[in-house]
Amino acid sequence: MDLTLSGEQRLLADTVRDLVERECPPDLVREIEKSERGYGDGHWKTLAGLGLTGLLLGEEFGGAGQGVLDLVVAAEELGRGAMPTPLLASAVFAATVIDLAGSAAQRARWRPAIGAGTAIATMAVLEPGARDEWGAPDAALTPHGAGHRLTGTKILVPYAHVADVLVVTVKVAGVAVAGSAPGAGSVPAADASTPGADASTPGAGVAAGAGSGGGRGLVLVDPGAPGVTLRRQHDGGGEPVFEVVLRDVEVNAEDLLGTPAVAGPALAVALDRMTVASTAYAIGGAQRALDLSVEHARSRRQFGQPIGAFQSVAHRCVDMLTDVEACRYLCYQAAWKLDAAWKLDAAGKLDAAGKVDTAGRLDAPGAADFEVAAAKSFANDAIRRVFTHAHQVHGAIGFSMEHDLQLHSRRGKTFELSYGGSTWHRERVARALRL
Amino acid sequence: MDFEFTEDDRAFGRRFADLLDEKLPADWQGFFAEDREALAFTREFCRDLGRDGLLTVSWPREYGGQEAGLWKQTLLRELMTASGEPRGPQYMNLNYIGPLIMKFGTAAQKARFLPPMARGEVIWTQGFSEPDAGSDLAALRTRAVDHGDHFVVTGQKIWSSYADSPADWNLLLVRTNPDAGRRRGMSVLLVDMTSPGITVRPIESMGGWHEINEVFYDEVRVPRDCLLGPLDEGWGVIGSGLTLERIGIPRYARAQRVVERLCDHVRETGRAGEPDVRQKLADLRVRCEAAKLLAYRAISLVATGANPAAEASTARIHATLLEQAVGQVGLEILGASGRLGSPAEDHAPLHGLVKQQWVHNIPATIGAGTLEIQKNIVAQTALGLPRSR
Repeated sequence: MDLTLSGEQRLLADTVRDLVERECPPDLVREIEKSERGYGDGHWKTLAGLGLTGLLLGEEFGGAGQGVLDLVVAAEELGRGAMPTPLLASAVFAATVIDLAGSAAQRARWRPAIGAGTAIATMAVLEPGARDEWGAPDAALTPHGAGHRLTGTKILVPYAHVADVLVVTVKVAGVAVAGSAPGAGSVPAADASTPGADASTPGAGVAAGAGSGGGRGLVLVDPGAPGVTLRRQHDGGGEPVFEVVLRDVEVNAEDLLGTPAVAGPALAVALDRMTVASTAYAIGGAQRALDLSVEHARSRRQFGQPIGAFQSVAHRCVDMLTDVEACRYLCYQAAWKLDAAWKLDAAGKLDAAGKVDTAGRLDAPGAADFEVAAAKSFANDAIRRVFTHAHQVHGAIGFSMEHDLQLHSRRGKTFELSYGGSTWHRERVARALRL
Repeated sequence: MDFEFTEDDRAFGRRFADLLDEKLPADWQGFFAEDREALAFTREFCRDLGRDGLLTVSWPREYGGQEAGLWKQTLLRELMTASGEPRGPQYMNLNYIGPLIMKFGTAAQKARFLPPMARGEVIWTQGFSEPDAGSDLAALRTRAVDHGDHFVVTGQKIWSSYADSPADWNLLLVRTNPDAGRRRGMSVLLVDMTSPGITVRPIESMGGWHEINEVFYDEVRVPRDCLLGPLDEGWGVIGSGLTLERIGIPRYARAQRVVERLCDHVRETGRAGEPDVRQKLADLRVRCEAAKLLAYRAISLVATGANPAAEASTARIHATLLEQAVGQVGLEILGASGRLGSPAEDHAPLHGLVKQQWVHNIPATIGAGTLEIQKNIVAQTALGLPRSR
């Protein structure tokens, strides 16, 4: 047991922090947010040059072969500076899906480029009305000639406008994947009174569609292909996000990413990694909100003294600190647990081999269920509390766009609403506790 | 970073878990349950452990320990706290009174006071707070007049834990120099509780019979060789002790044990499917995890040789609020039948465990420095905010 960062991890954190402070000041973040591109191309090249895009890439493809824990350390520093970047969407979320579900040819085509930062991949998961990323998709493949056609609408797809490839979740008729639920067989079947005792039951996350006799699949789509339309959306979260309408888009055999039996579990693991990485980014923002609040409480004077000398203000700052610290260590633990469950094998490939059962299903996607759900459910609530305190300590100035606090509090709300809300993840915890 | 115990540490933990299974009576409800037999059992338990050298297993060998590392000590403390503290009042000896004597004591004091603690034969109480010196501890007035080879102590202390057990010895904070300023001029005395002039008056509390007392000192003679640490510099001595006490009790371990029992209970009573119950228990269990990790972070820093005072305070803030929440939310889950909270009541759910959890944790955010004092410390030390007025 040792909850201190290694020397290399501290060095990584310092390096990224210096870089963000130097190259991504708050005024530049404001400018980037208003731009068409929505992220700094120079920043992207710098992050790739630092090796962050290749952190999770196996050494077979020239990557660093490191884990989510290292990524989390870097992501927190990016969040502290509110740097808009496709790093997590591409090099964590989409990359993990391709690592786990991709054929040798698909991995060879995409992973080195994503790892080098020369290609950007993004996940198209959410659909209109969706509550979270674990819900069953409606986008559907229909047979057409030798291949398929894809039709559906996706929303809040980050960086779709610069993506070289979209990874789209689709409904696949007639494929039962119930056996791939984590702990299936030992978890009592949810009764009718359990919330979400349907495809989107937390913890049974990858059994999506089992109830309706359908499975889910993953499809690689070229954003420039005929039938793909992008429209910018505005969620106030600081990242460029898009509606992606897919109308009769041609899908060939080589575009199908894994069998449905593997696709669901691969998506579940990728979602866990992305959930943890985005939690780290949000923790960085919460830490910055705390730092800004403390600065303000020390310098702002009212009634003849710094407002930080009033206990009601000081204690809010302490509450923020204790919440941020708790989030941070829950997040580290979840990352560590994911790394323990999903290691790179000797060949540098993310080890799915030992986790595929005789029916070709990816086993144990829920290995870090408790830790991930604990981190996200706690962080959702805690980070909301942190920003509530931060705005209160700042008073009116914190509500103005010229103050930096809003850069982080807008992102904090987006984080809370992404990758599963508190109630959803707590239900997942309850299942992990065998309730 | 490593979130796993070594096999060696785990084996140590299993050995103590087995030991507890073997030694705890079948109807053991914990030291804090309303059970007068419990105190007698804790004396026997400590002597047993002491005989096998297991009571002070993490202490240095020269003081009767086996130098088990920090993480073994943590596992041991978790098991003891989760099991309702079968060491009784003597946990204080091990957590901070013994270590304070190791740190500040003379060779003669160490030789005199530590071996009886290691043998599990001695109960200590403490005298810090006074009727007019609570959170403002530096306002204390109990006076020790220096007569060369001895001091004469006169005054009154309150909230002295376990003094009526009866306690054999007392870690007493007194004013030795009234002219030296508020935080200077205080000293720590080790006081024999059989000395003439000491009167103990138990204070009946919501939590039962054997917790807190008023102690009156009427010209009590204390030999000079019972002064712990430098004369007039007792504030620093006690400060070290309070830091040790704040991280010494793994409250999250008890909270988690109660949450686990609640999970068993709702499964057994067919309520595990209630969405509200699932949400509440999951939330409490996650907070146990957060409090544990914050404690482990502080201990990890201690392992590197640091003195994580602010980290210990944030860990304690989480843990004390958690302990209260487990009792409060747990009772809400149990509902009306949760009103029966005594182990003696036939129909008390979980033998009254949850009601006991509630009542015993009302002062969790008060003892060893109130929540507000903890927050002031963190605000000033970790965040650099100005002193509150």
